[in-house]
Amino acid sequence: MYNLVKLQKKNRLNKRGKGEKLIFIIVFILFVFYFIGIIYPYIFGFNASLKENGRAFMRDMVGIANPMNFGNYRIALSKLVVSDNSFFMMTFNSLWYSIGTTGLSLFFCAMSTYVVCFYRNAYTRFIYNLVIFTMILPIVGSGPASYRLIAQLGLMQSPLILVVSMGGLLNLILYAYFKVISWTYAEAAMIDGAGHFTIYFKIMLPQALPIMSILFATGVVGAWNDYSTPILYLNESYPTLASGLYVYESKIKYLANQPVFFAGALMAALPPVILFALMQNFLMTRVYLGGIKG
Amino acid sequence: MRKQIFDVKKTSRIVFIGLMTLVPVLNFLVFYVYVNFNSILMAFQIRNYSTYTVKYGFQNFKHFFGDIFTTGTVFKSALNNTLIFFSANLFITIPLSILMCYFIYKKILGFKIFRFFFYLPNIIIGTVTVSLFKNVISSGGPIDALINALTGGSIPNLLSNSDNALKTIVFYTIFYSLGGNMILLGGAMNNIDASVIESAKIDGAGWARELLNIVLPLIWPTLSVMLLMVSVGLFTASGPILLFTQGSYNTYTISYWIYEQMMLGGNLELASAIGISLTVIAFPIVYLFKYLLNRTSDRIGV
Repeated sequence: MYNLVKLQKKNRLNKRGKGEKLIFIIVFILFVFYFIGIIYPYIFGFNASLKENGRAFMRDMVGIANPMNFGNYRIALSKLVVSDNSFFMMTFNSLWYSIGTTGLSLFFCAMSTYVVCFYRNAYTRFIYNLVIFTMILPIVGSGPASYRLIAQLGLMQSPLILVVSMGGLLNLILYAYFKVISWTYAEAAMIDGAGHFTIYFKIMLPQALPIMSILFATGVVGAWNDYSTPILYLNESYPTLASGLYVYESKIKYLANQPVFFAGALMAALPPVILFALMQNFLMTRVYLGGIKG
Repeated sequence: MRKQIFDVKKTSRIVFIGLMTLVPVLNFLVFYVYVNFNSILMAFQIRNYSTYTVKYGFQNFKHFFGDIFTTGTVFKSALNNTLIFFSANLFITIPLSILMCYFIYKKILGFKIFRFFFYLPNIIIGTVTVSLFKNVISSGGPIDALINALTGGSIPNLLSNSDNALKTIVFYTIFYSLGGNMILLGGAMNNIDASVIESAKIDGAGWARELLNIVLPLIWPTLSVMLLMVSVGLFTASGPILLFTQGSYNTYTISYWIYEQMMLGGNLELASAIGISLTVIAFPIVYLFKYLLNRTSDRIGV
């Protein structure tokens, strides 16, 4: 009986009026068009990557590749070379840069965010207010000064550029997550004689691992896809896939081997897509950012 | 004895706080405080590269403010373009993103597939997406073939042309960033208490009323942060200019011009002066925006 009432209520709630149904149908059609608009360039790129060679591509950009030359993917692995870095080396550089910058930044930022959240005193309150203030400070062009400092520190064209990312005083998403974790666990551990570091690393941090993994994944994807920073600081010695592809694309204007470029480009795009596909449910429903009113 | 134990606890707490924040604070001091201080200094420097001497003065500011009010200069065009990108984001991308997220939140048919693919451009390297997009709209490409099949005509030159290049990049930026806000907006919508929506439905609220009167106020804390961040980017708004035109055909934006100075070893001092000037102009605008957002928050009681 109870289930029947529940079912009736659910049906009533799910029932949409005629006008609303029409709106949903129109939106659905628009979504389908938008979906095609989004997905088509990648399908086009995949088809282009299978064209026999650059000449075949230029002759017919749209037609289905015939014969399908999967060998372009093998060629891309060996011939897509930028600043003496092969595709594999650029993949390694991308991994180093994306995992390194995100990992270091998250590791140190989580520590600072934790104390700002749980150890309230004048100093941590100052950090919180400072971060909120700097967040809304519309600084336009500190890039040149940053660029000059990085050059002076000898970090130009160096894998040690990662030290720049060893910071972050407060992450608001992580802060919002920490705020709902109960401090009772820490108090219980304190009574058992645990120190501050033990509490952080063994009790509180493991509870924040779900959000940490989301922040890590999104950070890695962001850094993997970042082309502008590596073009400035790494491209002559350690190009990443994102920055290397930019250089390679400028070269193919003259060499005309677009199918090989598309093959390499699609392979470079694959890792973030796989990572996102694995995490999308969690990513799309659990990330929450509180307000910063004040 | 009791007091001694208390002090040890207090000291260990202070040491812990200090150690936990040590590296981020040092990083902040070097890469934020020092960098911005140096940025102000650089803005006043006039570097003579032949004699390796540095003088201080207002020449960079004079250059910038002289050019920005003169028609046909790169700075005037860059500022206009920056404001176009900013407006496109604020008035087109964000409202459309909210609508898109709402229908996905309402579990429109195929919402899981849409959700995945709409976010896709944000997780694929920009170099790849831009390159594919350029080929799709090029002469001989699929759009050209479609136009040819339908009308017998051909696609106009969209990128190597001052009339169309900026419009094309703005279109690309809007089109491919609509799904970019889905994580934060989707997260906020999914946090809405289902019973609130149920009550509204029972009271007969349609989708538009539900969106405007229930969903928007409840996601306002997240939305207001997003809007604030957009306002902070007033003079840094841009599209992937480097990947499309490298500033040719009147497509410079302020941030791309500054980036180009770094990339090509150009006038970093002038770039700093532009940065400082626009920061000073943006500061009151952003604070006014923040005040308005806070007032809105007070009005809707969140």
